[in-house]
Amino acid sequence: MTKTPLLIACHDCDTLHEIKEISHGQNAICNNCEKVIYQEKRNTIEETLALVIAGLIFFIPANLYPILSFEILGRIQTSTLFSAVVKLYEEGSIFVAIIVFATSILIPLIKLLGMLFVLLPLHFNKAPYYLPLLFRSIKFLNTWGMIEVYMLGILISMVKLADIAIIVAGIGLWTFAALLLVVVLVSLSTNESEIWQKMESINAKR
Amino acid sequence: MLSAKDAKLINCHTCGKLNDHKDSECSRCNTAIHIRKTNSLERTWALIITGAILFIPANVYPIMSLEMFGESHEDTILSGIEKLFDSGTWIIGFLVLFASIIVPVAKLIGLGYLLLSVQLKIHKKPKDLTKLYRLIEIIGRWSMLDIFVIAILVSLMQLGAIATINAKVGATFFGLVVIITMFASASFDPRLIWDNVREKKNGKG
Repeated sequence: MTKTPLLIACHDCDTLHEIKEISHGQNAICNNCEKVIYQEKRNTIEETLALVIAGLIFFIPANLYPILSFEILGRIQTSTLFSAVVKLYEEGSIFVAIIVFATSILIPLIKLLGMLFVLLPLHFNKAPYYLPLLFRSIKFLNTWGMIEVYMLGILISMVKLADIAIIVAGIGLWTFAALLLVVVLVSLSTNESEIWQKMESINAKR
Repeated sequence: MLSAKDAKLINCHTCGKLNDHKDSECSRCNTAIHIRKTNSLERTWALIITGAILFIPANVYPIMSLEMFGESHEDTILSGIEKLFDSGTWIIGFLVLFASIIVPVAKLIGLGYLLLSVQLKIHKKPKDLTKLYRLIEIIGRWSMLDIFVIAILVSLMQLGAIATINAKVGATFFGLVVIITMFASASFDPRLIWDNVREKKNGKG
């Protein structure tokens, strides 16, 4: 049996490269345009699965508890992620409400749940028929989850309001920060090619 | 630097598997595959022109109104930034200026420059053009910052005559600008830059 070289094409410049073995933790970089073309991260499925579960746990208090409360002349107003969406919707900024809902709540949740339903079967060496479509959809949604931008927005709002009122960070804010950290760790530990290869090898055995 | 296209292969942009150029669907992940993004130049032009047009009402119309102790006034993106600079929080002012003005404008100009370089077949510094594209792709989402600030302020300041903030139509236009420019950068295909470089080299040889 002759061994044919495994090839990979650079995503950004289409140059073909032969896949060479690299050691754990290293990146292979396109010699033409300097794009990272593949990474050597092994056994990331379990690690990512654990992080996804942690993310789903943090998601609940981050959405239930107030992010900030605002106190002026003895009156207090609190805000959760969802109440911000409702207020925007009520006063007629429907499109803005939809953007905020999608990028700060819906898409992050879909991504976490989606990853759970991709990684859990793979962990048990199963590849249900919906896996390719589901993982593909998660990749498509990747840039549209914006909780790190939202976090910066919270900090800026706190500075803006600090002069006129007392601003108190709620439990929601701390759990939202924890959720943000976990989501960043999920994207760092995910090795897409490992997931695709595992799906392919499970299907090949059937 | 043989490309996948030259080797009659299509790189699946979802899972990175190389497929035969006659295939229409990736054999591993079922994504519809194309040698290059379809109508990339036309779509990107259409989206950046739309984005540039919408950027005007996004800046002319107020993004929010503030009513406090009976006094009320409206803020545009720029007047909001000016206020942040005036109140001495210039770091925050600069962050908002960067996210709301510099990033969208730089994206529109940067993508326009990339499109022109491809169409006029400029072969100089393809590596720098590719890096410019990657930068545009990464920073685009941060433009949404002001929209989130508005969302938070609106939900916190709902105390009737004491303090009320409402979102205004400028915010809708600005949200559209961010979304449309994100679609614009996703529809540009950086491999077109390198196709030109290869074409020129092959022509010479």
